[in-house]
Amino acid sequence: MAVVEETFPTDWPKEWQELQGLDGALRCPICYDFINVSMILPNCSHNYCSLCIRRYIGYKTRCPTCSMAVSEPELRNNRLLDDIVRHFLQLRPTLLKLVKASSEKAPAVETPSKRIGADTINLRDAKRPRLELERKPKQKNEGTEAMRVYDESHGLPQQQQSEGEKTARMDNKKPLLPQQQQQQQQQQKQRDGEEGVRIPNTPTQFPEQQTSETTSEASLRLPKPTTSVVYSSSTSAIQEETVTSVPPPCATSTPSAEPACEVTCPVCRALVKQHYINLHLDKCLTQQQESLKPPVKLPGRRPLPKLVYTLLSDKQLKSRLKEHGVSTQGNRQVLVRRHQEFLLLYNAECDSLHPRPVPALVAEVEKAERVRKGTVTQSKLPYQRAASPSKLEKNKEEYLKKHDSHFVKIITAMRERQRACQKQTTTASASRGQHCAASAAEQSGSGGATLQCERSLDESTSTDSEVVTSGGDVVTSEAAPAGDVGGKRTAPSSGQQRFGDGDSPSSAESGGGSTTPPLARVDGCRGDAGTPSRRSSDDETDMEDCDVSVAEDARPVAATTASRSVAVTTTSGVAATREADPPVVVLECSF
Amino acid sequence: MAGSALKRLMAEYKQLTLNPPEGIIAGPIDEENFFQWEALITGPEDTCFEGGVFPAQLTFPHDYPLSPPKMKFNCEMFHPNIYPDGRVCISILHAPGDDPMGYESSAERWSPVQSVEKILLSVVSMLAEPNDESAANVDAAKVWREDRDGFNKLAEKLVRKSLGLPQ
Repeated sequence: MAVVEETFPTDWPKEWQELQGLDGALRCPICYDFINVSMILPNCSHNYCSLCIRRYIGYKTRCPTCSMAVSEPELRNNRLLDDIVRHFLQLRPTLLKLVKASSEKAPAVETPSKRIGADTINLRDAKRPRLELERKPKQKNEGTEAMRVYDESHGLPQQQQSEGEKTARMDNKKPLLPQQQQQQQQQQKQRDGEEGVRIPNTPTQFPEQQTSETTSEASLRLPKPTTSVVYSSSTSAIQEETVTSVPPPCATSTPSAEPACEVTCPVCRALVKQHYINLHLDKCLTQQQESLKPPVKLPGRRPLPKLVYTLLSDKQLKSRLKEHGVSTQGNRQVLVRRHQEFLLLYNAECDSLHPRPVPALVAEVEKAERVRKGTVTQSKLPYQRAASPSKLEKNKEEYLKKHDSHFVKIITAMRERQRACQKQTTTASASRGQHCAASAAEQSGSGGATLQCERSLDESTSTDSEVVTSGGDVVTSEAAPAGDVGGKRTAPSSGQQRFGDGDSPSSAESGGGSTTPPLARVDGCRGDAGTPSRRSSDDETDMEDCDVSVAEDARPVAATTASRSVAVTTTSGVAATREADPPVVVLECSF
Repeated sequence: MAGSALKRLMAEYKQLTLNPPEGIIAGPIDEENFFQWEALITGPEDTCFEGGVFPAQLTFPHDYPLSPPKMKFNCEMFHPNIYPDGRVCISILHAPGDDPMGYESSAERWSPVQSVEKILLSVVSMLAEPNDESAANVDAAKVWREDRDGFNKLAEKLVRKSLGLPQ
């Protein structure tokens, strides 16, 4: 996971079994890749990638290697191994090159062990300088990085520790510089004779000193330089001067200042005046306690708790996902799976020193899901971006061949329909309404039947037949009530009457009720009816879109067949009524 | 997950092709689908299966290596630990938790540190030393236990069959 390109322990030449072994030892036995954020199992000290072992613990709570019992909270980081892996990975390419070059140079006469010895010498003699040159800057970086890394991992305690040290050091070191100032000030003060006024000028970090200054200035500051002698081996000459110059008076003055004698703090080892030792000790102890607290509050992320999904409602589950910006699409099973994956990745990432941002994790979870889906359900016409054009062409041809009969059926059905449509227009004028209606119904029925062969068209065919039947209803069922009207209006013959009657309400509906002129609608429908057939024949060449286009077209077809059946009836009805009963001019107008 | 499975399978394939164990050849049937492998196993020497070459198919789950693969012989086999339909029944192929015979210890079960190579090696040793205590093919176990000569004859027949030789 840490490496981009594929590497194997077998990359090393066979003579270098040690390197093969090292390479293999730094790999996770689960994913066979270099360990990425290593986690050590405390009971058996086996190491795995954080993600790998966390995932496996979901299957079985035992060490994969030795089947020692383990639980997820027991896992501990193994930063040393991480460092080793990182260094090895940086070294690997150069080392591999060198090793390969050297093993090519050396003929296979010597025994392997001898050769290894010889090669290492060669390596050391000839290549070492270059190697070191290459590595030096890196190492420097690594050193600082490692330092930083360490700081981050132990951020809180160390900070506090260093703070403690700082105060201790300040107690010891700082006086040096202020000391000089103070001494100068003192001299001034002594000269001026106004000691109390200048006090605020002294550093505020040492309240003890400030307050005690008035009582016995010499005794206060004089012992301090003695401690500074111990610590300031590398201080400047001026400081040493003061140090060397100060002790003699110190030795003389300390016994004299008995009431204000100093003691070393048992916690931070700083010299503190006896008056203030309790105050100081309180401060020191609280600081120490804080630093001794277990490093629970590690900087960075905390692992998320696992959820009991059976106790969560869908809503709660979704809100949990939303919290982190994970998609909430899909059914419950999908959501649970997605949350589990995200949790795993998130918690594994928490072990890393530099956890990736959450959106990156979300993206990875969703990508993995897509990959999983892709492997389970393949599209009808698999298309791979990386595949060569010739292969794509081959796939296309295969698909064509496989579905050839379907296409032929669809095309012939469409052509028939078109022909029938044209026939209708001609026969309509001949006022053979019944025949037209029959042909229309037949035609739409046959259209539905042929379309049924394509699975993806099921939906559209169902709507088609539905519409057709409803159209039929218009024709037949409404014939009864309308029959009265028609009966009054005309004296129809048995066959034509039904049609004329059935038709008149529908045409009246469309003509009177709707704002859009039915003429335009019918024409538009006819125009549409033509296009699908044409398009489907085009699709012979454009295979990829075929399913989709036909499916899409099928809907307009359904609509058109339905409206056309109405339209046909209207035309025939119009024709019939026109012949039989001229007063129905509205219909003609509307047409 | 499938990505890590693929990566690991590729690593194992490379390892198997570079350092093939004796008498075993294995690899994906189609490089497009790394989750279906074919393996050829030669019968171990000094056993009744000596000389035979037995083709088998390995099917890897998408959460490999967390779950074990399935192995099935594509040829006719008569062996106590191979089901009549060719499925292999050995402990290394059983995920921790499912134990069809109820006696395997956890240590000999599948774990991600096992590999295809180890599976195939244990299948070879299984051919050499059938375990009639937990028989997948009871008839074979019975013959193996009671009529060893008969078993050897049947095994020889299978070897000849696998090599395409006349019976």
